[in-house]
Amino acid sequence: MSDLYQALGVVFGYEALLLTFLGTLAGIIIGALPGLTVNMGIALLMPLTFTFQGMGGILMLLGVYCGAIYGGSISAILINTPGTPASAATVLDGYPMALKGEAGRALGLSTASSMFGGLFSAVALVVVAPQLAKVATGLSAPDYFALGVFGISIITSVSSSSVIKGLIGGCIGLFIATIGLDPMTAGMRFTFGSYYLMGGISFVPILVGLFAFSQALLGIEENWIERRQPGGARKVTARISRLLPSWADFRRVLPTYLRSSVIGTAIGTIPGTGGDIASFISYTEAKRWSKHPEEFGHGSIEGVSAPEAGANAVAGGAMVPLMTLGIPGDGATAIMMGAFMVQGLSLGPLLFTEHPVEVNTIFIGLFLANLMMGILGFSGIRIFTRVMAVPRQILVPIILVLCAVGSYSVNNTMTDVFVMMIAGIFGYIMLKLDFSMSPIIIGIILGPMAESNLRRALTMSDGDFSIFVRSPVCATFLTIALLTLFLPIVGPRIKAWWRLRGGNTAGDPSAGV
Amino acid sequence: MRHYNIMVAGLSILMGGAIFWLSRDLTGFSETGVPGEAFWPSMIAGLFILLGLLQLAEVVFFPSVNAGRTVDLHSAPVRTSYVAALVALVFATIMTWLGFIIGAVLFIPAIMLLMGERRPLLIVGATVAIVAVIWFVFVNFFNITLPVAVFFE
Repeated sequence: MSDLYQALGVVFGYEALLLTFLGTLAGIIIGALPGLTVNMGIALLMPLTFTFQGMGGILMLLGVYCGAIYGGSISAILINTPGTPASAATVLDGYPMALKGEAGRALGLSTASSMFGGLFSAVALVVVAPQLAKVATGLSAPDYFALGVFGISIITSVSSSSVIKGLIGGCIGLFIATIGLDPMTAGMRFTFGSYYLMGGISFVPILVGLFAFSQALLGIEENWIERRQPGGARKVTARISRLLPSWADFRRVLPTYLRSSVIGTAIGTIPGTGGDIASFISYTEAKRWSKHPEEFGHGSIEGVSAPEAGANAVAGGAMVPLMTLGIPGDGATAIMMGAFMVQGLSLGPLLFTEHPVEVNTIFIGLFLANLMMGILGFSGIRIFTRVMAVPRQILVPIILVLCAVGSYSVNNTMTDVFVMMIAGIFGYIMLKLDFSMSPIIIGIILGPMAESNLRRALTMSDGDFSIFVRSPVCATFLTIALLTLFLPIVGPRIKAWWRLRGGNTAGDPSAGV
Repeated sequence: MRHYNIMVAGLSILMGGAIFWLSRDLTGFSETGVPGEAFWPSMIAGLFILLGLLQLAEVVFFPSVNAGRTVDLHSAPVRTSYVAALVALVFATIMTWLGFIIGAVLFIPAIMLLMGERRPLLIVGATVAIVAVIWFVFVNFFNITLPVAVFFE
């Protein structure tokens, strides 16, 4: 119980409260601005977190994470452009409501549903995570290796269109992580006599370059195209009236809130999924269960509420595998995991026994971030709509300067700034070539864990590889990892073959005889 | 897309080969069969080569997978981004010698001009505001030292 009181003291300290507030505010603004993503927001603000003692920085990142998911709905409703992929489903009914003059009602419902989904998933995290951590406490080196491989295998799910390129990206991340001192023997690897490389390539500049600098370069490209289009960038024209949902609206959407929150939380716990999947499934289910399915696509209040509750519920769900097993579910949680590691918190089952105060701080911090998101959403929506009007010509230089300053601030060296820029330029070209950035980060983060546990396991068994099939936990995770790796490749081909076979059978007159 | 995918495959195989070559002096396995420093990098190198070959096979045997997809690395908007990246590298170099303030005061207007902004008042106003806010927040609020000009060190 004293751990809980200590955690309450941390979270409700003035500095932590201010940082959570600032993080949530920054998150909402980043989410509301089309072109700025959740990952970019966390990557941009992550260097700042190292300047704070204790958990302040982590609480700030939790605020950014929750705020940015919600912020995406603002631009989705007002300008028909989802601020984040998770808000793509919100456009379907949010924008028609805005066109009908109900922008305030839509924004109010999306704010309430985002807060509900976020709080619901925080409760689920508090209930489920400690139980799962208890089960996972007895894991040994081969099991941790299998967990690492399982974490790496989700690369196939977070890759954009090409699984092979996603895996190549993962290998790039794994290779970057090998540069520096060997984790077991402390021998030099790929350092070429450079003092900078001896400590390994700093993770933060790479992260900022891949997620923020490359996006800023994309922003410059999009600006060029927009300037030559007849209408240019979209502007907010809708008038915002009443924001708080009426009692009648709330009663009607409450079952949708509950259903979508359960869906979002459950999907969040599955590594490799994310807010976009949760929001679309929540939307489809809301339509299926609705008494007014004909309203969907024309401004249904359930159609706005379902995707937002589902997407925001993913936050708490995704923290379950992250905190208990040390497996990031997507790019955003992979970046968060990096922040935890830099703060000296090694995620996994031992976190719950070795750092109970920090665990409780994260739990309470998640509740607080979601509450702040709701309060800020209801009170500051008019300000956020003004922020959306900031032209790209001002926004991009700000991002680029923040990238440089953030990278510099981690180790106070300009080398990190150059590393960030080179990573960003590579990231930009890789994005053009259909690569995703998340696999690289997942590789960098999980590579050392997988390698050290693989070598530790083989040292334990004197080089006998059968150690990985003797433990049921290890064998299970390796099997799941293999399935995760190969299903996205083999699955569509099996489906196509099955469809073809079904088509041939249907076309065969003798089939039915 | 086809020739870019072949290039990606080639680079992946080349990367694998390079890692194998760079690991040649590291220990693979000890006498007792315990893996050494080269073990994990060699696995990654093998994966790079395997994935490169798979990418090549996809291009040759399953051309329909990438049919209709295009890669834009040379159009005017992309070239603008390259110029911006170059300007950013120059900014980093200036920042190394002349510090953050002088670097940012030159960099922000350069990017704004590159993005088509021509209103001098907005350019000057935005530059001063961005530099002032970032300096104030980072130095006073976060206690972060920003690079200063070598003459002031």
